[in-house]
Amino acid sequence: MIVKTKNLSKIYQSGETEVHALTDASISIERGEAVAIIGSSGSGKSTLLHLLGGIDRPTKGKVFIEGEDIYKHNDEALALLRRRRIGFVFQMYNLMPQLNVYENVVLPLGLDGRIVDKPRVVALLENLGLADKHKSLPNQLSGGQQQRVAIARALVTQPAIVLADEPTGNLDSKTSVEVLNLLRASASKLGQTIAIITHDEKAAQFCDRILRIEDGHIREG
Amino acid sequence: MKLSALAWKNARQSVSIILMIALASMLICSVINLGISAQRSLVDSILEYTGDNQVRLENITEEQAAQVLARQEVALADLHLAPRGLGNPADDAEKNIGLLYSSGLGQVANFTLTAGRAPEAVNEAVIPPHLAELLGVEPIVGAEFEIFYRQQNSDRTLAEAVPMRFVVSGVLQEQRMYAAMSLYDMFISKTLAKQFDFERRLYLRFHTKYDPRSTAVRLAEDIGLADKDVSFNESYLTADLNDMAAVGFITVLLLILGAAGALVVYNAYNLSVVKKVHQYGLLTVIGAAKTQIYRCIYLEALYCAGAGLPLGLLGGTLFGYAGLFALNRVINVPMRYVVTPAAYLISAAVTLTMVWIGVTRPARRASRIAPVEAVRFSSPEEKASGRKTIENVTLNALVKINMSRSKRRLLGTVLSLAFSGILFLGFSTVAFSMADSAGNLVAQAMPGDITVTVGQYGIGNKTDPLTHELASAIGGLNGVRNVSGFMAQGFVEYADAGDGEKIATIGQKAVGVEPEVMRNILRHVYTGTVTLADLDDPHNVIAAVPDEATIAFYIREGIGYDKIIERYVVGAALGFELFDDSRYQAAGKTVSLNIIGLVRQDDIPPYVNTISLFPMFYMPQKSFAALGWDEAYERLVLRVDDERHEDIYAAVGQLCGFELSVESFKRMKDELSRQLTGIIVIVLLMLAVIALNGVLNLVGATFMGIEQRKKEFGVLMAVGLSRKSVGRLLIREGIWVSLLSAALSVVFGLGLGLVLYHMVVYAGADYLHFEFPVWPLLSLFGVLGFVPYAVTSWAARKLRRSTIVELLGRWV
Repeated sequence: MIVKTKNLSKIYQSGETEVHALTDASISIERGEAVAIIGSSGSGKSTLLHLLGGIDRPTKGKVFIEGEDIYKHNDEALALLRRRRIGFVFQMYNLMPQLNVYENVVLPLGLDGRIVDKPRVVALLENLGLADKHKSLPNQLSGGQQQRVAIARALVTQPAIVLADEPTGNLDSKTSVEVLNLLRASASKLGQTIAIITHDEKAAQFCDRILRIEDGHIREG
Repeated sequence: MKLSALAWKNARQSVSIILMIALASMLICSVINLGISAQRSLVDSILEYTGDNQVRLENITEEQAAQVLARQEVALADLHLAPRGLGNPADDAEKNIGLLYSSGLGQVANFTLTAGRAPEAVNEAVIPPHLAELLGVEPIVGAEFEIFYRQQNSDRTLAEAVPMRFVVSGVLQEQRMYAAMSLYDMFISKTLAKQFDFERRLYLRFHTKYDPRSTAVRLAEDIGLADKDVSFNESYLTADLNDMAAVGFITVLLLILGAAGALVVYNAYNLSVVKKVHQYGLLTVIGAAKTQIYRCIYLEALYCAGAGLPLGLLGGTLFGYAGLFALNRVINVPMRYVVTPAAYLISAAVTLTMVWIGVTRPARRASRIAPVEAVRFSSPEEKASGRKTIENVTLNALVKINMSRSKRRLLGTVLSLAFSGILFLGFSTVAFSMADSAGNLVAQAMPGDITVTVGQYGIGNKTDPLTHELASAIGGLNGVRNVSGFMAQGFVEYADAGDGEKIATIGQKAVGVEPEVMRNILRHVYTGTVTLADLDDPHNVIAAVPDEATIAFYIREGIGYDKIIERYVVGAALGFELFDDSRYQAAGKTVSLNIIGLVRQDDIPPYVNTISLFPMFYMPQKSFAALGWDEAYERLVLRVDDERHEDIYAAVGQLCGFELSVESFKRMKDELSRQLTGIIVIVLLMLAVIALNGVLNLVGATFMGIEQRKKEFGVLMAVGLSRKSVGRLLIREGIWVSLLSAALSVVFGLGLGLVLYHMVVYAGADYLHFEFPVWPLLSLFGVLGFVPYAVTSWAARKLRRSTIVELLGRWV
């Protein structure tokens, strides 16, 4: 079991009202598994991803990554955990605009003080079809290319899990298929666990298992 | 929505820009107000102190005065009858009151009556308020007071003091310069003045079509008055309300302030344009023309200036007033605060020009934003750079990349900070050297630790007050190590100016010195070897010539100086008429002096307090005796024990009468240092306002930069950077700004300091020696090191309050 949540809940305060974004979500994801979390807009899927990735804190419940309760850590340790065990792919790519492709990919390694294994990074870029783009800045790339850079950045640290939030939400259907194929292929090749959040049934079909989320409640299938 | 409405909306959100404009205009307005006030006060003080007359005729007879008054050239005449005597308050024999009849009382500029009328009866007087205060009476008509008056006898001694009672017939407008200098004059009736032995003087101003100098000389010739009795009110003649040097100085200052302000406005609008790139892009998408966007930003800037300018003008008025108040306190010269509409018009014009210059480039940039910028989300600033790929993107590498990604913004921030640093270091380099050279400046005027000098305005025909007996008494004081006495004899030489005109070279002096001093002077002779024995002939003298720059200056002035000065060479035998001064008792005699050696005035100490355009002569004191000249001293120079300095100063003051001026090197140096420090503090305060603008700019740039880069920080945190590390990243960026600003400030500030230093020296401040500005440099490092650090730390702390989700925004 690589990821496990137990009664995970998140309540936001919106003025006087409480918004129950996620209620008692208990899920588990096996090592090497690709899971799609599908739901409509406002269903709580992004909240679930934030909580799985340690970028928000739950109101109640726990998240275990490789058996470790991640929210028992302080901010510093949580940052370390994100750096080493989690990879993110965002809908809007969220690349650093001042860094070129290569630098964006090696950024998590550099911040972790790790020595960059250049041949491995180059191979990763080649796998993702970015071999001739490693000196380009993000704004010189198409959306699909930028998302491939984001995937490379998420995979480079060989994290316990890659969390992808609507990775094709900003791409056309042809590019979406390409990106999902690459994400899936790269993950398989590296034995990587993936959780994809999407509202697109077609995108969900690329995964081994589908979890549905509705009004903050999770159900299998 | 109209574009003007959008500009208005934007302007309302630009509080920091409004504040920056307000600060800049505040400085501009205060500088103009201070400049005008100083200039007007200078003219005021000249009018107050010397009057609005151009020429003074002395020793004039009643008949001669009548002839002058009948001349058509004369526009204003003020006849003075000055009794040769002194008054004292009943309870204070140390304070002297001059008695004077003035026919111009109530009519001339410096003698304005605020109440009552000119005195007519013998017991009537007009007094200024500061004299009323000294006498302990109310400055009102009808007040009565008593003084003790000492008339001068024919043998130049003073008669016994006699009490005199007066009733105030009028009150004079306060003479602020006189009050500041503790000088007291009371105005008496003509009838009373004529009861004493008096001097008659006539002050004149000619109609504007007449040249005052040539008219006065011609007039003196016509009535048979000697040249030496004609003197000019140089202060009045050279005072100019539109003094070009002052105007030039203020203009340069305004240019500097305007440039600093424009830089800040430029940087602020540059950032604003970057922040609103989507807004301007969207405007172009929906069809706004380039000129409309251009106009929109100009309007926004105009609205900001409209809000900032009144604040700035108000602040400038108050700041200028505070500055003038401080200056008055520091240099003890009364200046009045002058506020004119012109000052505000100029301030507004300079501020608006500054805003216009500052906003032009950013506005042009905004108008060129492509519509595509509005619909894409990556920063429009990122451009493909040719830099080498960084293999390992560490925190430091990220800092470096961030610093180089927006060179324009970085440059703007660094320049606006460095600008104040450069000005600070530049001015403080000179100021530091000046403060440190205060001793040199004082040493130019006085040798030794304490000097006793015969006052220039002693009572006519009185016996020399600085006698050998007094010198011995002073020499006997405990702690006095050495007393050197200097004798002096004034001359008049009627030299040929080369064009047939005779020029009276008044102001020349022969100085009798002790053998030890003479030996020192001989060491500086640069025209061969002269020994003490060569000066055995009492007619042999050493001439001390002014420095070449002074000679060149007077030659340029074209007053025939070249013809005069060229005769002062070794071997020259020159004839002089001894000056008929009150203290020199050889009036009417002549003497021939032989120059046997030359020294430069700058090479020897200022043994006598005469600043002469003409060479001074030095000779042994025994020559004075041989020539039958007055052997009383002109000046005593004392060397004293340091720890006894103040006691000796007080004791010498007790021993010396009112005709002697006792000066302490230490006190003069301290006073000068105090004044210089005060001026430096005031200048630094003004620079602090420029620096404040720079800091505001830095705060704006930092927070705007963080606002723009929020998502980046979110991404960095998402990929594993802790909040602390993000803070560290920001602080390191701040440190880079500090380093760059400090480096620019040091290089250009020291450069500016050196240039200013040489300019000041070139302008005549040869007492200055260059002092490396250690403290200003350390303070600069302190401020430039602390401010960016503090600002970025503050920003980092604020950033820490945002969650990663908030930072990433809706795009996560």
